[in-house]
Amino acid sequence: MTLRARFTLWFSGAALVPIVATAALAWWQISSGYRETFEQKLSAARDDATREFGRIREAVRQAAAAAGDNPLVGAVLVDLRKHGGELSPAQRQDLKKNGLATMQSLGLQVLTIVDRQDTVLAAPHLVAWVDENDPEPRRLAGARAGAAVVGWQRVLRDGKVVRVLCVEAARAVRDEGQEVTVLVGRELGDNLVAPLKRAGVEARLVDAGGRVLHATTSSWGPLEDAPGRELVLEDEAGQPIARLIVAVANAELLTRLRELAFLTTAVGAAATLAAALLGFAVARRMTRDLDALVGGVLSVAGGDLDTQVTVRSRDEVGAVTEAFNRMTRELRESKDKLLHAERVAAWQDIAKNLAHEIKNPLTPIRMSVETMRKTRAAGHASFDEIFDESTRTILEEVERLRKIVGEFTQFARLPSPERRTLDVNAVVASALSLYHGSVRVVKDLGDGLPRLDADRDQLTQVVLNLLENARDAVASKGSDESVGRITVRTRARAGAVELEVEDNGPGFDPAFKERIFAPYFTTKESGTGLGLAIVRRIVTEHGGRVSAQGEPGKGARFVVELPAG
Amino acid sequence: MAARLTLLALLAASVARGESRPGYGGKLVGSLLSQPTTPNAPNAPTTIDPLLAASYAELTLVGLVFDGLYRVDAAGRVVPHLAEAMPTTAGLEARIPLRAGVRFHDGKPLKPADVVASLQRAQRAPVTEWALAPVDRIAADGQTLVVTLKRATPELAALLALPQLVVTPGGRAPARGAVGSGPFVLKRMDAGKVELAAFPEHFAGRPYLDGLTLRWRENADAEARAYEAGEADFSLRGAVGFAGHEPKYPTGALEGPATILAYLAFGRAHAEVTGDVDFRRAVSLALGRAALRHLGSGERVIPALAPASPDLGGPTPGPEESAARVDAARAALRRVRAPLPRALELLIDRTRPDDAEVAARIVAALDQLGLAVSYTALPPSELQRRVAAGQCDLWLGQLVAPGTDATFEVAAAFAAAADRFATVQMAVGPLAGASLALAFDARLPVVPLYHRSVRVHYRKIVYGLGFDGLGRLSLADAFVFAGTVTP
Repeated sequence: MTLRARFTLWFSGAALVPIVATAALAWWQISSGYRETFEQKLSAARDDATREFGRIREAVRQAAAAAGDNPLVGAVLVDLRKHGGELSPAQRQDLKKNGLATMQSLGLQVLTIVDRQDTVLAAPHLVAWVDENDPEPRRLAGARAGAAVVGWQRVLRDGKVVRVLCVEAARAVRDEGQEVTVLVGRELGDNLVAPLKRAGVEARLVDAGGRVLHATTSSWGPLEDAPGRELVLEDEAGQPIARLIVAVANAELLTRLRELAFLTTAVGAAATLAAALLGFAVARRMTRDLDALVGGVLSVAGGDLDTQVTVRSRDEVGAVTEAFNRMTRELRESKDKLLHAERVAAWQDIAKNLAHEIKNPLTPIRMSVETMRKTRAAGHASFDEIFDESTRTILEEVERLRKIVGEFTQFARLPSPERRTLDVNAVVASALSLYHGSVRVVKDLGDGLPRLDADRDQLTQVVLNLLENARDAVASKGSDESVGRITVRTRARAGAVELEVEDNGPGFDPAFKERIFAPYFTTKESGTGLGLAIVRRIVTEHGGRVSAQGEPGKGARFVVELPAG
Repeated sequence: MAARLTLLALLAASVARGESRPGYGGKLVGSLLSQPTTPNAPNAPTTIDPLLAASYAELTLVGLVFDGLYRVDAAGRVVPHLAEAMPTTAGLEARIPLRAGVRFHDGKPLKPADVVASLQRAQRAPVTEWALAPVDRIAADGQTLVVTLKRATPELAALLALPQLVVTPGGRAPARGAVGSGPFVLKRMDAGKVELAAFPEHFAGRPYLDGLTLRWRENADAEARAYEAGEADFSLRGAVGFAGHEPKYPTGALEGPATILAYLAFGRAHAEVTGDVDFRRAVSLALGRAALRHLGSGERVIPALAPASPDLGGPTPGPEESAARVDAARAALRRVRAPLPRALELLIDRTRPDDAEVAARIVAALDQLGLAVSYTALPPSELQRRVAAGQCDLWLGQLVAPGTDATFEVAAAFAAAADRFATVQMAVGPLAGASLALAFDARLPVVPLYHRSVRVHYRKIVYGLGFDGLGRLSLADAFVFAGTVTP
């Protein structure tokens, strides 16, 4: 990871922590506010439910307490007195006619009047109950004396008998020896749940079996998981008979919390992005000179010692850059000096070798000339014979000198390669056609090799030099040439083509594997020692490299690696 | 002086008689609790055809427009009407002399052939076939009706006194302009109103009234309000419709015999259940009939179980008896083989004011058995249509007494339930009370609920009102007193 990227990350990370902390804190505080409001709404709903239930209880209790003052009840008592404890037909008609209106005017859904024998005298909510026996009102009046309790009652509704949950109370009313018991009841239904409905607040009444009796909404589904409060309604025996559930729709709360979470996340993300951009800009500014410096270093590492990095800042990076530039300049100067020294040394070496090479023929020439002068001066009888032999020697040595000078000229004046796209296998084939030798050459050429961008003639020269070097090595073995073998291989390497020439000659001392490419280095009795030097120079000029591997008695192998075109 | 005193006494007696002396003229407007009749009128009875008439109002109207061979008088006796005398029987042939000179409202003479055709049509009608089951053949011999019997039928005159067995021209079903031979001519039938005019040529003499208008209202309260406001001269609700109210005019009341049988019948919507006699027994047992005596607006209501045996319920007022009865009902219900439906529907006639209360009691009673029943109030025509189509589980019906013989009511009950048991029995012998009760128990075609009477409230200017032996309001002898009436 680059320094710039790291700087950017560090800056972003450093900014992210406070941003996240701030966003989380803001989210927590605002959402707490929402939740608190929601809880208050829920508690208020339950308080409303409790209050509403209490209001109904109180109304029923008061209705029972006022039963004695009701004209209908009073008329029944009078009629009973007039008719010896039996209701007259006229009174029955009156009850039948006006019972329902009386019940409804009192806001009741249940009104039962029974006599001392528990015979129902009036039941507007269930006319079919009249004249039946119902001990419940007198029992309730005796047990609870006007107190309101919750219980089930049967009422006739839409032609059907249905059971409704009621708050009911019963009280005995007496008048001059006559007694009736009045049971009043108010249904727990819409009158209980409807007032609880508020914006977002719903209520429903369910019985002990979970059956919904009344609800403020028919689509309670979304409220199933909403937070709610329960008011457990108990019957006379204190057993749960129903539950009044108020629920506050939390969809809005959840939506707000989601929006809040999204908002804080978005703000945090935007802040983080801004921090990252700022960090990037700062890092870029900070690393701009460093990047230039890195580029310069890489350039120098690539061999370009002319590289100079422009200095913009005056800080530590500027100082380092200045030092780098100075170092580069000094390095170039040192290299130039070194190259010059090396060149001088090389030419000295070459000159020494050349001198040595030249010096070698001079001795026989001098000796031949001196021999001819001595024998001529001595009038040696064999002068003519000696003259012929000496001049022949002189000519041979002169030829040798000419050859030395020619090869040196070739080595020294090797032209720049004229590059063209070519197939290395074609080059090998071309070289083999020029090859003259009795040693068997085995071709092992790879298929589908990448093409090279190279000088055909120079590359042919490389192959020929390596073949002749191998041929000479096999020939110097002194054995039957028929067992000698030269193998030429080509193969592809990553981004390069490899040319290999292997022989089964005498090999060479591994200590010579570098020197073997030096000009005028040779292990052969004949040869100028420039063949492999020319190979390396051509290969190097083509951006490739050449190596030699061998051991005494185990042959030699030369590998040329050239970059693909 | 003596002569003067005698004259004063004669004058006083004359004035005293003058208040109740029949006089011709005048018209009456009255209501029979939502009664007669035009087709398609929402609350109207459905027919004036005697063989289709079933309700009290329909049969009362039939009695005003048509005549039968015999009738049941106020004392419950079967007396000749179109017949001149009681049947004379020789072996299996009965001969009935017909009254001569009788004319239809259109002026045409009522001939023996009209009688024959009318009775032959009645032989094929579901509601009357049981009554004529003993009759093999009917023919006329001059002015005498010759009835060939399948068996000895001493009750033939009583059977021929059935209110449905009246004579129509050619025995045809009356069309809109029904023509009969009765004391009143049907002049006009409109929605909510039937207008009748006196038939001057009625064989028993012209009615005192010139005309009679029968109105029916939306419901019983509407009828009561009309009477209280003085818009009707007689009503079956009226004076007791609103406690504490006083009708506009001085009023009197007259109550007939408790001859109308109210029953609970069974439909075919869940025939596999409602056709099961154990289900019917369970229903009968569940119904506490004691409280039914307080139905209506003060009319006589007699909780009824007969002809079913007392084991199938009855007026058992005590809580212990009620509990035992309900337990027995539950046991009977458990014996029902078919699965019980989740809900049952009870149909009632919305024009009968007491039906809703009776239905409520039935619903409440069956609720104790765990049967979810709801009742639906329908116009009479719709009720009849639904019943005929079998589209209900239970329905409330009323049966006007077909005669003074109790077995006739049982037979009519079978017929009302479309059960031909009585018809088959009647063809071979008279219905015997004990065996008939056993058969009724075994089949329980309907569940009897109560008998009730009809009470008519009338302005005190109306005289001569009465009921025949079948409990039908008799208006043929009514007349209007034109003088001052003391409340």
